[in-house]
Amino acid sequence: MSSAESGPVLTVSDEFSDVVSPGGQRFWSAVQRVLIALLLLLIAGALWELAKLITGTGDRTMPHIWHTLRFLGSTTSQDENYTWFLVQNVWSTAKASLVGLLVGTALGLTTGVLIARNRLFGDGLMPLIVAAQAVPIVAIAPALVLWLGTGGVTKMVITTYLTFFPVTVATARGIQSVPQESHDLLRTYGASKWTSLRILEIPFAAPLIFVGLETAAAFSVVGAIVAELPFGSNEGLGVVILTSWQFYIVEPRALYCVAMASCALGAIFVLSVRLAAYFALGPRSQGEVL
Amino acid sequence: MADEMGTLGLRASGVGKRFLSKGGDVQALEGVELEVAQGGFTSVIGPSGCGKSTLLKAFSDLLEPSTGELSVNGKSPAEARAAREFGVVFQSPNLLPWRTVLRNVTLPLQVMGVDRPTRIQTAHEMLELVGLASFIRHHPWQLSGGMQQRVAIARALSTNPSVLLMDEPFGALDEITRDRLNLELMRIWGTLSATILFITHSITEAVFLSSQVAVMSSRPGRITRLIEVDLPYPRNSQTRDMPEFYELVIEVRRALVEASDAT
Amino acid sequence: MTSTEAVGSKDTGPRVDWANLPLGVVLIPTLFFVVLLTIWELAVKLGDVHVLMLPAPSVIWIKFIEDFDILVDLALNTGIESAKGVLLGSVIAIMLAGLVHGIRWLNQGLLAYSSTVKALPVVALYPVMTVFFGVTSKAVVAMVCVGVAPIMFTFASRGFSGTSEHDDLMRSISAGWLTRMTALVLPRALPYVMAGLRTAVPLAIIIAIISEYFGGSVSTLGAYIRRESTMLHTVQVWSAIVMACLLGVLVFVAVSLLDRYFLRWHASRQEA
Repeated sequence: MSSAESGPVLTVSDEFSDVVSPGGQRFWSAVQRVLIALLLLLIAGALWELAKLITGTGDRTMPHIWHTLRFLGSTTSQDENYTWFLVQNVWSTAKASLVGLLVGTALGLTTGVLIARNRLFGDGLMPLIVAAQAVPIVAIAPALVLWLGTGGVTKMVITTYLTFFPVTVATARGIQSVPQESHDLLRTYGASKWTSLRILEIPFAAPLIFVGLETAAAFSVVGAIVAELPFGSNEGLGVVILTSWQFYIVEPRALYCVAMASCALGAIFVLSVRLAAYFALGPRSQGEVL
Repeated sequence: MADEMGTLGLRASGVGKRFLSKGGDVQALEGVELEVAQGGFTSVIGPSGCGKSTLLKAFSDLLEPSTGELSVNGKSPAEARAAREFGVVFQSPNLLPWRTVLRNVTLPLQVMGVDRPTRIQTAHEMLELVGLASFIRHHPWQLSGGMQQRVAIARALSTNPSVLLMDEPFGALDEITRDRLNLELMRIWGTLSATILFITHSITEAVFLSSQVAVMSSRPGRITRLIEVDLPYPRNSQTRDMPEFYELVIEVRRALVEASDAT
Repeated sequence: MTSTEAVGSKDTGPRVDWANLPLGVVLIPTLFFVVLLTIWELAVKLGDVHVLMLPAPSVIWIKFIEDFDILVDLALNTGIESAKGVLLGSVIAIMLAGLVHGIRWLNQGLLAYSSTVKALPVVALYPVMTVFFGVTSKAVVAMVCVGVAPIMFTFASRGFSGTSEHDDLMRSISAGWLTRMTALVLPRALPYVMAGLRTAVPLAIIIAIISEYFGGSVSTLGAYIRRESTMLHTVQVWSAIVMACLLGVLVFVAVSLLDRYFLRWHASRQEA
């Protein structure tokens, strides 16, 4: 720094912490994680075969992995490729899940904001919402069907019901955790409540909201499947699960295939939300995509 | 003291603040008298919890006093806030992590509804002023604490306020950075004509920066002494070498001890 | 100059908050709940809704009291199944977490799966369980176990991964493996395990009921709901729902008490 000058020196410090890793590195670690995930799947398959070997369980109960995979290529009684048949049903369920997810999210965000901002409303409603999460959907579903009949409406109500709660809780908690100082800051600029919401509260709560959305996404799939049970419809994963279960004696592999397909659909939904979070939040997203 | 509500600068007259709580009421401030002339730099110093921040919040219209009056440029704090006459810098920079440095500085103007080109222009100027022009695209977490605080200062200055309220802005930084930022602040202040109220608990910082040091006691918070600092401006790295500087530090320290003894 | 008692409207300081009083915490939600129930009751009465579609709360309450003994019995069975499942799933998950926590890639991979498969479609997997265990209670326990394990694994993994100066302490006194486990690693992981249980236990109840719905022992809540709904006994279904809620609340309170008891020493309990 200067010695003989009469005025203070203009110092531009170059204390610069390099936190952001270069893009290439992040890509490689993502690839690594995908590989590990695949490796774990292989290990799981190997363990399955090992267990089968050790316990000597018959093919009826535990089909060989490769037999099950081969089944995917077989044809159904409608002369369709089985995989194609599965995909169509997955798509049907996915559509219903998506609708429920969107509606539930919209409602959840609104309610969450209301709860976080209004003291009285929040104190009263929040415990009820947390408690309502404990009610199992299959208890509500029959009651809903008895009330609303079997049809698209019931399906939508069920999936919306399931997605509504996690999003509400996450939104409310996220907004409630905005530090008072940030509110004070915006207050000194005379920001309106709406501006404050848009500029401060939502972006601040966004990471937590996305976590809630992940849960909601998984639940929406569950809800759609539950809604497709006997009183539901004639297509969708729920229906396929039930028929595969009934015909298990005849063809065990179908059940495993549809179970895996259901899990895969749930996983796809969750991963999609994570991906969306990654793009929306950038490095602020909780953890990595996979 | 003649009551001149038309005076510019800052004024607190008989200000008291009482907080009601379950555990018993707290008298945070009582009978606070303070005057900062326009263009002046006053530090308020006192032990932790003595109500310094409460006083600043009262000036910035984040709190309403239980008694007494405050005026900012002759207006009430609420009016001054509506007229955007003051800027506030808090102890933590409070930058929005999802915005770039530039967009953090444009935040107040955005809220005010200023059009985009003007906002960006002003933000550039302010960042230039605090010496961070090359960091406009960075995000807060990429900057050190001292740099973040400089961004906060740029943001506070973006509305061209005539009053700057600063609540221990350098309190969380190490001494070396703090000294450097004190110099910076003096330089910046030199180019503006702002009135500054500066809260701190560092005696050397208070003496270095201000033309007047107000010593505060705690419980209840009250200004016990006003010490004039007539060291020459502009203050620089040699100011700290002057014997008068250390005399003033000693005087402030004595006043502080007296103030804490009084409680 | 003395000060008055005036309270500014823009206070950011502490103020008397009726909502903060312990009574307030219970009172307001209860009030809201009562209001909701009243609206429900009125809607049914005024809209002349048929009892088979949506019964009024008053009707449900009467049935609930009537069938209370039966419902408690069912709830007990469901609770026991869930408890077994949680126990089994937690033990497996914790042991697994302990085993793999040294192997970084394995740990990360399993964690990734656990967090993605966070809401296993019980509907899809329960049939698989019945393949192995038949349509019995065991299948339900197995399903709960499988459903709860990922969550417990995530929390246990976190619990085992913290390091502190206590590790150095252990090394400095040349503590053996068993000592390290019992004196440091396990107690340190306990808060995380408890946190996991808080999530897992209510979830277990839900999974159990869903599984029972599809088949299992007949004297459980889920099976009861199934039976009654096929017979269009709407009121019975709703009274069972009430019981299910109570069970969930009870179980949650139980876990909270356990949590409080075991973690009296934990920093989060200390009032500064």
